[in-house]
Amino acid sequence: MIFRIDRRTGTAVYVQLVQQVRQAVRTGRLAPGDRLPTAREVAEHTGINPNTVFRAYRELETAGLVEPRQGSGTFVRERLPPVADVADLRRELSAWVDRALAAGLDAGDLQAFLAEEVRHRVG
Amino acid sequence: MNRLILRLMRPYLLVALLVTAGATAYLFAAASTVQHQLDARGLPECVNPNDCWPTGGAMDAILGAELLAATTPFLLGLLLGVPLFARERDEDTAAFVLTQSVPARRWATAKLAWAAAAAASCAAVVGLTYRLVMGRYTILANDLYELLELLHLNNPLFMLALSASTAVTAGVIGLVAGGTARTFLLSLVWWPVGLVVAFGGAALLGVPLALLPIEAPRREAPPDDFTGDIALMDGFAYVSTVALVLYIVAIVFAGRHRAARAAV
Amino acid sequence: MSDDVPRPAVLTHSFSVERHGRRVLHDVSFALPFGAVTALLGRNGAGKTTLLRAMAGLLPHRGTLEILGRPSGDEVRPRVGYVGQHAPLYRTLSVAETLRAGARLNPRWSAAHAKRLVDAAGLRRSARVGRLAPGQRMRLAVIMALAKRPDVLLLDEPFAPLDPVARTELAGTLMAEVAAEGTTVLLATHVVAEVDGMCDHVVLLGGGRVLLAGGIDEAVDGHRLAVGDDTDRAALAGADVVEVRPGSGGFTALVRTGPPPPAALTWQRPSLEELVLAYLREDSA
Repeated sequence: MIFRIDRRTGTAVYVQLVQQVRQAVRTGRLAPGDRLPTAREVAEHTGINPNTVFRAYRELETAGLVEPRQGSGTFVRERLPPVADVADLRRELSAWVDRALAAGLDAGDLQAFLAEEVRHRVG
Repeated sequence: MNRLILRLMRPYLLVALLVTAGATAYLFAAASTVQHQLDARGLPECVNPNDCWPTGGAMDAILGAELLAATTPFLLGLLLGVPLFARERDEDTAAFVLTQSVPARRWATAKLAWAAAAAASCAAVVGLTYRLVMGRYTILANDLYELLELLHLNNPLFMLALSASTAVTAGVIGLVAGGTARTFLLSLVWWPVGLVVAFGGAALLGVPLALLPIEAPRREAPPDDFTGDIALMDGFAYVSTVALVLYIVAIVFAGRHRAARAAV
Repeated sequence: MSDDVPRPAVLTHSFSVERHGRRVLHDVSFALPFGAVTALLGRNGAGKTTLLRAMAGLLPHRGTLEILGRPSGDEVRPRVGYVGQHAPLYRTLSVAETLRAGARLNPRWSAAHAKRLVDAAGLRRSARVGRLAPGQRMRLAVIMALAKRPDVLLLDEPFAPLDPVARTELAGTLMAEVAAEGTTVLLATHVVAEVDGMCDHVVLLGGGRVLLAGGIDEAVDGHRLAVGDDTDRAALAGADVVEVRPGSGGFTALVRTGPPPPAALTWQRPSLEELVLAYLREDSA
């Protein structure tokens, strides 16, 4: 897979890598047993620090999504942990968005709120 | 390292070769001009200024040859010595070459050595040509140009050493002062200073030599034979050459030390 | 990352440099762990170039400079790559001649690596170095440093003369080198955005002194930023303030989080750029 790094979002680069792998696994672009690009490949292609890639892969490993295999790289695990129940959260969010819009907030306001809340917690 | 040094010197070496070739050609032409005049007067073997004092073009040729012998070694030294480090500093290429794996002192020593060798070789060609081809004719006008002779002593070895000393001096000035223009101007001072070093050194070295109980060979020449004049200053020239060589060794060590100072 | 490695790749302690009788660097002390990519930041004239030149052995210095655990000098020179500002190279040589010179001057030289990088950069071997565009010359200079197979790489404004495409290519080349060889990189720049995502450490210079040195994450975590109205100003009392910048009717404050930041304000994690700017502004104020 190919990573896309956006330096202007303010989201830390390793978080972007983690999110993109998660999403690729979720959408099936990465299947169990697929190899992730090596840190060198990612570094060469995106110009980001390979240590950042290692850090993202370690995080994914801790989350049980991928596993390193001695000498051959990092692979998507055959048996993935159950995905958190997103559906519930999505339902709550859409209800909240409805209420916010009804209260007169616009899309920009909502994004700013969300970004601020996330920044407080994730940093 | 040596190939890179020679490659960097290439344009200057080419000019130095051109200067050498030009000077040599001029000396041959000048010799033939004077010989022509002697032939025309029916005195082809004449060595006595009282019998065949050169005039017109022949006199100009002798003056030209004297000037050439006096200036060429110095010019060659400047040409090869001034850009040696000054240009490296101008273009900051020292920051490239001194951050490769070669120690600065080795780089500086090799550069100075090559410049000195090149200047000495070129000056040797000019000096030998002057001595062997032109020398005998300059006697005919010696009275007029005796002062010019003090700048080259009619001696190829001395001319060679003067050229090499100019090259290393200009090189080290470039290393310390930087900037091609500044190095060039400062190096000009070496002409008089170099002669003072050579002659002063010769005087210092000469005192113990004179004390040695060596009988100088006396030439019993007829009063109208002046051929000995050309070799008259050889003894002094050799001692001066020794003084210059000592100076060259000292200045190369100074340059080496200076180049390495930053890198310690 | 590699902070747990006891011996740093580069260590300076009370490192000072004088130029023309004037002290340009004062007691500079920092350590770069093996494999770290460090941004050397500071305003123009802060001493970045002087520091790199002195570390490359081009200027005499006082104090300690250890590279790969050894005092700097002839012994470690083959293991240190240096690219000066404006890519100093011999202008009269061709690209091919420059590469040959590099091969002869460096025992660890990798001709294969040089060839790969020259091809990737699209440099013509027969081109004269003096005729190359500044960006192309800089790429050649970096290639010369990389083909030397250095363990420590010192780069002075390598991105400045590059166009946007060449910039990303060079960033990729450098980061691949770090990934493959574990090269320790110290990279001077004054554009923070340029090194965002590349660097994991920072050394911030102001007026020849170190204002901040260490891991970027630790540095950012160690600071908080808040925006407040003038009425909130009193809340800053007792905080370890780096900078308070007044704005229209309010202020922006950056504090160190030794003590917990005052609760009256809403504190946020600063970006590296905000952090660096605050230090630099405060230093020149």
